[in-house]
Amino acid sequence: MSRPLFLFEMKLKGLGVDIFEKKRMKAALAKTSAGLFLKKVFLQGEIRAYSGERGGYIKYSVMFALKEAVLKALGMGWNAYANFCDIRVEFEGKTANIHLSGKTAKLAKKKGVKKIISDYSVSPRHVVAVAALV
Amino acid sequence: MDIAAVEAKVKEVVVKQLKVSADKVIPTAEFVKDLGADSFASIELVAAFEVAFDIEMEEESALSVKTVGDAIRFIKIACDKQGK
Repeated sequence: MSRPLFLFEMKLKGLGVDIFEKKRMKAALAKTSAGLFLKKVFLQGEIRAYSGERGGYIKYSVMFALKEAVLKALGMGWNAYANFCDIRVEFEGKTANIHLSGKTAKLAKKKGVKKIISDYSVSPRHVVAVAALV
Repeated sequence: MDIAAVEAKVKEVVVKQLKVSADKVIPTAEFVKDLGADSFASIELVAAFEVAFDIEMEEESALSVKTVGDAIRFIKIACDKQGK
């Protein structure tokens, strides 16, 4: 109950949702360009945390969907991939915390964003992520 | 690398990455509108170009690439600058 109440108490500055097919991440990680691809989307710590881990592609899928949801919530559009590494996803159990830096943090500040509330769900085929800016 | 070789390789990479037929990969084709690339596919494509041409593509500049023709010109310049 605390989350919806919290949302109503603060003005919503942006809302983004993303659905992502996990098999696309699995396929991307099997390509020769996988290393370069990962560096364009994830921070070193994010890559290291799940590199070589069985089912690691699911975590990468969740992080990708969360980052997309944040970019959409900020209104940065689909082709803002240069900003993916400005968004750090940190898992605390099953909860994902979002931290911004660089240009993306500046934009969020300009929009008056104080907090990012996010959540995700994983199905056998997809990941769905949502980010609310308050 | 001459422009014809760049063009041939760009087409090859696009066909493989985006799983589109070669006849659709023409200079005026837009990656998003005509070839169905979303953000994930676009990032994969940039990484694939970097591997195929052994170059580095600066992300901010790569954002200006909208069409296959743009990509050919962008990569040709990158290859020349990086001595490939």
